[in-house]
Amino acid sequence: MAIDSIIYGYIVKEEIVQPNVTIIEEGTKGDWMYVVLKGKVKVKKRTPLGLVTIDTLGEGAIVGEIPFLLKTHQLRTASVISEGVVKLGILDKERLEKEYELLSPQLNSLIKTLVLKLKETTKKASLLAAGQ
Amino acid sequence: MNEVRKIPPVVHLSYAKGELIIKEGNYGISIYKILKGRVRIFKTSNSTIIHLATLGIGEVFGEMTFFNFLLEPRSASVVAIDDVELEVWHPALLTEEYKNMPAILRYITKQTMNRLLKINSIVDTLSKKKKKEKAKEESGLGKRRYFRKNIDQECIYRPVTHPLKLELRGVVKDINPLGLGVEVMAKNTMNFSHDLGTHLTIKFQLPSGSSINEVVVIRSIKKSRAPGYLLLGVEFKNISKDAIKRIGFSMMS
Repeated sequence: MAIDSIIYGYIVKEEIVQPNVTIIEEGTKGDWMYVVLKGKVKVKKRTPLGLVTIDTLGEGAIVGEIPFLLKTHQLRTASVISEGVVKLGILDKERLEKEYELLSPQLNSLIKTLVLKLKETTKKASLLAAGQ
Repeated sequence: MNEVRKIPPVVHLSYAKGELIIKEGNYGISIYKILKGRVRIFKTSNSTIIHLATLGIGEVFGEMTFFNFLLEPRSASVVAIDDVELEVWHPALLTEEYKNMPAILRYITKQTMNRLLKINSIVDTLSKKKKKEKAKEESGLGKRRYFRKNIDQECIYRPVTHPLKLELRGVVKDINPLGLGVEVMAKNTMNFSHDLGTHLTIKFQLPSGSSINEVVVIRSIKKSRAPGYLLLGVEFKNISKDAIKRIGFSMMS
């Protein structure tokens, strides 16, 4: 997937990450978002039987959006780990926050509903994948 | 542009306990916000009802159709658990705002929707697989691996690393090529502790008369039905091919 030009305007910093580096750690605080500019990342979730890979994401994927969009739950819902060498763009959180706050309460609650559903479904998938 | 937009007003609807609000597979466009009561979201698959979620006051449903651009039928059914009051939004209320919101937020929302659809299908596949495995296990096909032949053979065992050459007595109660169930006297632990992970050498005879002398590891410890006895689940360590063959053979007889 090519990077949308819309996203480039929001990148405040670029970073090169070595293979197998935890970019986002499940259960920790933080609501900044990254866009994958080059390479691939793995999304992993903890289960009683160990870590389970939920998804592999490539160029153009935005990660870390769940706490940002939910606002109330600031904990990371999954870990994101670099597969090989990965180039990341850190997105302008303040600008995005301002824009997100301008949405009507209705549209905001629709997006939150969608994100909550993604969070719940991901949890379900990880438990199923771990054989629970 | 001189476009006259007619946005239907927000309406309020009431449903009685047990009434169906949305039916899976139907085409509907409204979005609902719960003002009073609770609803249950469920799917029906092969006449089995799969409970997805319970929603309460302030929560919203019907959003999947909205983010799917009204192209897909309802992905799940919704039923009133209590007497409920709902605020019903026409999608036109939000379509314009959605189209005009910052492109990056639309990009993120679309991505969230796509991930949700992808993970939903993973959950569906895994649930079906799990159901199949469960059915297989219940029918006995999946149990073969764990099948143990019941026997009742006296054995002599001792901890591999014990400084004294202890000789403890027990009874091998069941057997398969992976391991044994051994009943031992709890007071044997006076001499050493039956800990998980402890290596033992064990000697006993198969019902056929051929003898087994192997190293095993304690994997589980349970109280036996006989008072004062323990049931050890032990696993063979580096068992010889010949011994496996002889155990396999004794299991068939």
